[in-house]
Amino acid sequence: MSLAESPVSDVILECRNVSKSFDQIEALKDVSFKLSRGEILGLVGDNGAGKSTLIKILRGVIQPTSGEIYIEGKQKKFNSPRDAIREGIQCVYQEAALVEQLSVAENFFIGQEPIKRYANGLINFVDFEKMEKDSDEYLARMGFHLNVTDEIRHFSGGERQAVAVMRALYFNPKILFLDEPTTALSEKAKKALFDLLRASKKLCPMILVTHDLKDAIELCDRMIMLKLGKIVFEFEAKEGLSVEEVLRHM
Amino acid sequence: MSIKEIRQTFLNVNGIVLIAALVGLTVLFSLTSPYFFTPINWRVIFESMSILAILATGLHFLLVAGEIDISFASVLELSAVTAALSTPANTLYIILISLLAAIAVGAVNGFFTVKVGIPSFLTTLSTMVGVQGIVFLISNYRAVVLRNDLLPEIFYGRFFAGVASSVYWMIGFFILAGIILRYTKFGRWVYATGGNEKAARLMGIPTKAVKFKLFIISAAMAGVAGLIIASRSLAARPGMGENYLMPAIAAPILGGALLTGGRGSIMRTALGCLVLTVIINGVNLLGLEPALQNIFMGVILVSALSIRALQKEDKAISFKRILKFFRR
Repeated sequence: MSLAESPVSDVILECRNVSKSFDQIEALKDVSFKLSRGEILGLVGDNGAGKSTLIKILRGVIQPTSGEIYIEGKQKKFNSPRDAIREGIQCVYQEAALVEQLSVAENFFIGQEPIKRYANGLINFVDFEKMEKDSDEYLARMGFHLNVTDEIRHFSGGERQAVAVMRALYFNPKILFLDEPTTALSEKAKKALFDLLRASKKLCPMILVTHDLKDAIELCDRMIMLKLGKIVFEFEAKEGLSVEEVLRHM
Repeated sequence: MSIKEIRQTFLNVNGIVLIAALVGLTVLFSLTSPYFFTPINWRVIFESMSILAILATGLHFLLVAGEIDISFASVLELSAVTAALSTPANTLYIILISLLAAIAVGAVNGFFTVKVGIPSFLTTLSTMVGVQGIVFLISNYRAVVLRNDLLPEIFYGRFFAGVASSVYWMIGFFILAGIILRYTKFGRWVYATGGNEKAARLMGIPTKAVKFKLFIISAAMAGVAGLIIASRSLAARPGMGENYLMPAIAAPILGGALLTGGRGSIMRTALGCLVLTVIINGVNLLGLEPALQNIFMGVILVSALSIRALQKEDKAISFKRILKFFRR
């Protein structure tokens, strides 16, 4: 059994021979891996390794040139991020994907706003009360006590990232992608985030994309290393490899 | 609307500037003309404002989403001329055909901006010129008489309190736009699209579809404005929308809408329309050179934008800073 195959049979995501070319450049070449329930998979590699391309494909931002994606055994094709969200895929982006002019609560529910129905569903208004209450409660769980009616631009990088992570978890995703989620975080906020992710992995498996091998080794159960669009190395956390040992493969 | 929302809408730099301008102009014109501060004149002001306000409301949606439409004046003329040329005919048919003509231009604007990727300013500049040509051709360069009795009643009839129905249309559209933008998913998506289109798209908002619909809304509003102007004049002619081009763009900007998107309040856009209409009305009443209307509008627009630029983000308006700027 290849290490790219999950040790657990309960596979939730499978990529088979996914490739992506931009004109003459092959950004991904025959990438295959599986992700199972209850695990955090690390996707590591240098700039240009193909990590972002892979995540963009899995999020429906771009489409693969060839290859297949399976969610819970069923083949899926994502033409837009909305398709991926409908399949229960949520993502935390490096730049947090927040709208400066909107409030914390509005950013928390952006694109998935809860609705209050009036006149037998003829009139549908956004349920601001629920948005404010739920976002406030979820953020407080991570130790962030923010005024959720304030515009998000007033908050620090860590607070903004907390909003991005908590909103992804709020929607009970099938799979959570974390694209460099610790970039803007302090050590304290990072620890809180990792604790939260470890506690949440039983509910939804995750793929962590990171440059930081230390972070990946600390948090992930398995890791896949990409180099020039190919998987070059796969290992499990229980093997106990050090950062230096892993770096030799880069 | 809660007290907090009212405060957020009016007690910021844009709201204060507009209220100050409105009060200042009202005092100035009241002192210089005995006819200004009269019920009849205020009725005239609101009736004149209605066409501008309906155009500005359509444009407001697009500005919030970070796009612009400058073809609305031509679309207004197209709708008006189409209505006049369709008469005599069934009134519903006239309304539908005029609005469809307007919406078709909106669809063209939306297609070329959203699908082809041409910046909206250039797309709508092209359609503005093109539609103007169509209007000249179909009207044969002349005014066309509106031969329908019901249409002027619907869009400019004085069936309630002696005020033209266009004022009620205007109020209705303001309320509808306010509700859509503030309370519906679509409205929140408009703000998100204008604020950070990439983030909005990544979070699953169909930003292209949102923008396409906004071009349709803007054109449809211009279509309604065309029906009102034709009903008011009982005729339609090429060039009758030209005077609305600058004020309809200026009103939302005066109200705080940014050309880059993400910001804007329909209440302040309404206030912006009122200020601009008061200028036009006052200058007319005083019998001044019509060119002074443009000078007044230009001064108020540049003052509002300067004060906004001077204003540091996140702080209440600082008059000390403004005074300091002028002392330098």
